[in-house]
Amino acid sequence: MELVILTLKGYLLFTIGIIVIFSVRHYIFTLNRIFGEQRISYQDIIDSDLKTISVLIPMHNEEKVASNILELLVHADYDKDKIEIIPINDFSKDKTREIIDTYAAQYPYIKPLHRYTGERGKPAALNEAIKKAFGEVIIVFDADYLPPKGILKNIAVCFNDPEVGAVMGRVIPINTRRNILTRLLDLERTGGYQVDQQARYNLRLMPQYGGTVGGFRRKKIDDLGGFNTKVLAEDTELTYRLSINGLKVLYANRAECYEEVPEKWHVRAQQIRRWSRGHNTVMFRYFFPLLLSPYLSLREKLDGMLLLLVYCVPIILLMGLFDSLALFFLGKMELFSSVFFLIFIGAYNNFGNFAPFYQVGTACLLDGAAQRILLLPFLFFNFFFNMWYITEGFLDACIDTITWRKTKWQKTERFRTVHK
Amino acid sequence: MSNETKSIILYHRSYRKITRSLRVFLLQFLVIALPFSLSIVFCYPQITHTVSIFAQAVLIPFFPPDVLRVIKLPYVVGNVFLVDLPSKYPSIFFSLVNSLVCLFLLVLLPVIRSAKHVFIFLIAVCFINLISSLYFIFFPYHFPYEAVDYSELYIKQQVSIWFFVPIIMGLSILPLPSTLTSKLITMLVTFFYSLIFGTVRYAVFLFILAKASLLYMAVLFFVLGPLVDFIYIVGIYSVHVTMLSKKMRSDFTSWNWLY
Repeated sequence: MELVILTLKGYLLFTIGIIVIFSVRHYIFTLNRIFGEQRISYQDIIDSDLKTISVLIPMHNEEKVASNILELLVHADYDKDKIEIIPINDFSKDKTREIIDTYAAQYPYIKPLHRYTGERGKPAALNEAIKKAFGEVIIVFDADYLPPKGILKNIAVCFNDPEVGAVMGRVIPINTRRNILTRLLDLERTGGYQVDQQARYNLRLMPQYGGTVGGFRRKKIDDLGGFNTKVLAEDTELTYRLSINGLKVLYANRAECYEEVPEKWHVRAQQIRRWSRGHNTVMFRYFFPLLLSPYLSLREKLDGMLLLLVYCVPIILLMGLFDSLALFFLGKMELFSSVFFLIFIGAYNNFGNFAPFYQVGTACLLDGAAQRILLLPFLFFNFFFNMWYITEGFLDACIDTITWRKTKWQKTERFRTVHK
Repeated sequence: MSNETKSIILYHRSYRKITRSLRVFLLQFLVIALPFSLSIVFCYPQITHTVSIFAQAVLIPFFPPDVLRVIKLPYVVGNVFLVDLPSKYPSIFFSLVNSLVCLFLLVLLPVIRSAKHVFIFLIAVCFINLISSLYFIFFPYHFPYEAVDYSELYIKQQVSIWFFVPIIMGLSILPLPSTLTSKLITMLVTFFYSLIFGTVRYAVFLFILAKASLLYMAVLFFVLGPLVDFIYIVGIYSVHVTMLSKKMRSDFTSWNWLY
């Protein structure tokens, strides 16, 4: 029994240690974003010949949004001789095919790819489209995105630096005012991009390629054998594959693009569970290759490791809650009363819980937001929500890894009104 | 657009930062936040004494005379004062009803699709209460605590929260380009809110443990205890940042770009 109690106490300290590490990380990033030297993206320092690009838009039953993105891309500011747009109709059963074909008939540089055979899902669709693409750079948008006029140039120009393997732009929700969920997701996105991604770029750590509003070097993905169709988070996997092979992932905060965030809780639950599943699968596969990579500095490895563990932290916390409950009912509350432990609990509650809020608050301030900052306390409830569904995703990832279960791509439901 | 407006080219939000010096922030932190926190270390015997006297005064009408006492225990560099009070153990029937209600809610809540974030929080509350209820059903005589144990834990935790409030507010508000007066006011408001909230909650929780049941101790500790404290800390912080953000919209000198 003593051994059990000792193990439980040890785990509790481990949990607190993890929280303190992640809190310190949040604080460093936030302070860097407030005070540190900001690295600008390449569009502000390079202006020369642009590379040929292929813009890939995976679509599965996207009739609500397909015409919006195609309309914006045909008006994008990019040399039409150097661009092709490949809308990938991935087994759609609605009017996606007709919409794509209408645009393709008008614009010769729109080259649709209709897929009704083979493997389904975004990674498989991208692999097939890349084989067909002529661009030196591949730029990807999800179908619900609304790319502004100059974004293709902003992303493509970064690849004039031969060290750059992938570039990620900033994602901004467009349907923020719909309800409390969209407002809270807007806060999360703001913190994630304006502070987290930019600080990691400033500090020359590992900004993350997010699979949309971004691009990657085509030759490199060919060399790496394309996307792994068994992984749901092909974006995170690409980040790590490129990084451990010596290429850099850039973050372009100026390359802003609007997206539609989920408007219903069950859709968000499905989305975050999928992210957790994919991200944790990547964690299982790339944790050790990351540590052994000869191309990364120690701090890049440390940041990469913490980034890999991001979707593990809620599970560690949940286990910590069960652990505390067990200690409580075993009569070990004197542990919770000790000075040493109270200092840790204080740090845990104050810094551990507060740090992400501080990051989001700072990001909103930098964005010039006002009223929406008042919603910060409501993110507290998201903490439990995320913990629940991330844990489910983690369990999915464990089963995937152990049983080699085949993953099935789950599309996020769209909410945009179709204008006829 | 007037000529005056045209003469100002606003910085894009992507790379702007705040015109504050890291050194000034660190200096302010050392001069304001740290001494504020350290003052708690020297004042907590008096603070906990006042809190306990208040809680005792509130609870006295509900208890027989001489049952409630304010006692002191040694803690760190001084004593903490706390209310000693009787415990109420739940009956088997009470525990059973609690467990059935929690089970019912645990089945019902996951089905609700709207406001899922709130319901998942409630699921956590129900789950912990279910465990506690089952404990009192199967091991009713083995519950290892009395209400006074919780009273002690609560007071000690509050001391740690009061100690950390100036530090956390210092770290988050002192780097911002608001006036020093507004920062001090925010820090003081947070601290006094914490003091008042902590005192009122103490009296309410003790009442629940002594009059309703010890069964609720786990929920009070794990879900409604220190975890809730940071919600109002974040709330007050968000009000400060919102006011600052509105002010900075028209004050271009507050922003730097790149370096």
